[in-house]
Amino acid sequence: MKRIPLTAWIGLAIITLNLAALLFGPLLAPFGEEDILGGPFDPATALNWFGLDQNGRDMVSRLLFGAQMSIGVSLAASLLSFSVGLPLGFLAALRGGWVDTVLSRLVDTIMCIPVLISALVVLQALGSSLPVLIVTIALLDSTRVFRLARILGQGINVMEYAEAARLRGEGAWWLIRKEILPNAAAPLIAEFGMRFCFTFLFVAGLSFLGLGIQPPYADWGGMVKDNQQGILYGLYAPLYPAAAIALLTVGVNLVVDWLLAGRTRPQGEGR
Amino acid sequence: MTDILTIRGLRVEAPDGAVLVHGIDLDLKKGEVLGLIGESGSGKSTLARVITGLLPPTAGAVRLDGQALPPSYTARGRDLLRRIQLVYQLPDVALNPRQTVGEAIGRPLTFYFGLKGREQKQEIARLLGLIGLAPDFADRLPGALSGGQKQRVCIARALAAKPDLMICDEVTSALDPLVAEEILRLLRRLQDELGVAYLFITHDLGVVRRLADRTAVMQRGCVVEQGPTEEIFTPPFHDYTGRLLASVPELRRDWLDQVLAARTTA
Repeated sequence: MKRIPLTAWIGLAIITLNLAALLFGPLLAPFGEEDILGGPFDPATALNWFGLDQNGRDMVSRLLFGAQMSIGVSLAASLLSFSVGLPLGFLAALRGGWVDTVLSRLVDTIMCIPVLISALVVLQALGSSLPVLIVTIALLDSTRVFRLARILGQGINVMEYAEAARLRGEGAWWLIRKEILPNAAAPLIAEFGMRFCFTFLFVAGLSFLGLGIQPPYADWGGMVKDNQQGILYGLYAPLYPAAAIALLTVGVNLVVDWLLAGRTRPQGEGR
Repeated sequence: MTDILTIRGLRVEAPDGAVLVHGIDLDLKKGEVLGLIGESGSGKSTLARVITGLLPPTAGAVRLDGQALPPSYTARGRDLLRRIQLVYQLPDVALNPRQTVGEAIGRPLTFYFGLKGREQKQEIARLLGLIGLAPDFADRLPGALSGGQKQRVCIARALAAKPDLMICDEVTSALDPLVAEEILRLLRRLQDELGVAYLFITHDLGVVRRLADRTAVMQRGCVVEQGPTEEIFTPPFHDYTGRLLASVPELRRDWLDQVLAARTTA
């Protein structure tokens, strides 16, 4: 293993911290998610490090509880959108013809409706439960993954090494797994980092409209919304969850940059 | 000797109806080297793509060892695919940059012959020895190889399939003269040792002269002359062959003037 740069260490530390909150948040939280401990926006004390929120609940505890919802939902949705979008995109690139046409036009149709509107319609119709939320976001997001995977696949599919594999008689599974995927990995890893962060913000946006994660459960996006009027009074309350989102976004991108560094160097360098 | 490749009345048209090659009759005997020369756009590579099944012909027959080849490679069985191997012009894009040399050479061994583990390792080492590379090259990625080494690996990958026919499409064009020389000597040696038939596509007449038993000359999608290499390169020349030969630069000060003068009077 090559030496890990400082930025990657910072990113890894941030992600580890968030993962800990994701896995053990409720155990670490000093207070309950819904416990009302005082008045709205009470300042920080030795017990409530970040003060209280708009309903007088402990900010630290809600951040820890919220990690589970926010990170869990975003991670699940991103993973699902990739596992749907990638194979279909590669398949469309590989097969071409009517397979490509049908899939691409379907995706175009979904993409020409703004994501937020599609999500609102689905969530309104089916009700906003966690599985529905995750699957809706994942499927809407997978259209973008599909587009990226398809264009990457098309580019690699016309390379002579892919042609050599096809002439050898290799099937679609080998071509996708061994010829296309390793060579498309760099942009896909970058995309995953981005998608994860966007999903985060999208969940927050849905929460803002009341269709995301439902109260009384805490999630970081919803907490920004709930505490927003605090900004008017110069309070820090909405900044804590916002900072948590920003921190994780930065952390993910630092790690993604490090993962990509080895793949974006000129040929032969550093070997 | 029997023919490994027989082409009769081959005609290929582009989707827009343009004729790419037509009226091609070619024979290639087992273990023979057939040189295919002609200027760019004369249809040499088109012919290679038809034989490999990448470009189905409009009319005509292609037979391998007397057996009719399905027009598209997708309709060919694994063994048929194994028997025809292609070596590309640009070794940089013919090797997957994310697969080590060992993986590239080892895959045909697994795919066609089911070799795994130790047996496969030994065979990879043997093939690497055949192309003059040390066994530890197996762990390298193509990015860490020179152009000539990459082309050697491509040749080894083709040889791994134990083909009856190897199509070499301008294999030395992207290499500098000294490395090209090495590759040619390697191909010559392999041909002597293994007796694989080569279809050697090139526009370098010197290469054909040295390597090919027989030569076919193509012009505008048509084979205008074919025969034993010595005959092709001994006067009297076919009109087009003569022009090709005259266009090989010679180290004389007035060479170009003479060629141009001869062309205007002709």
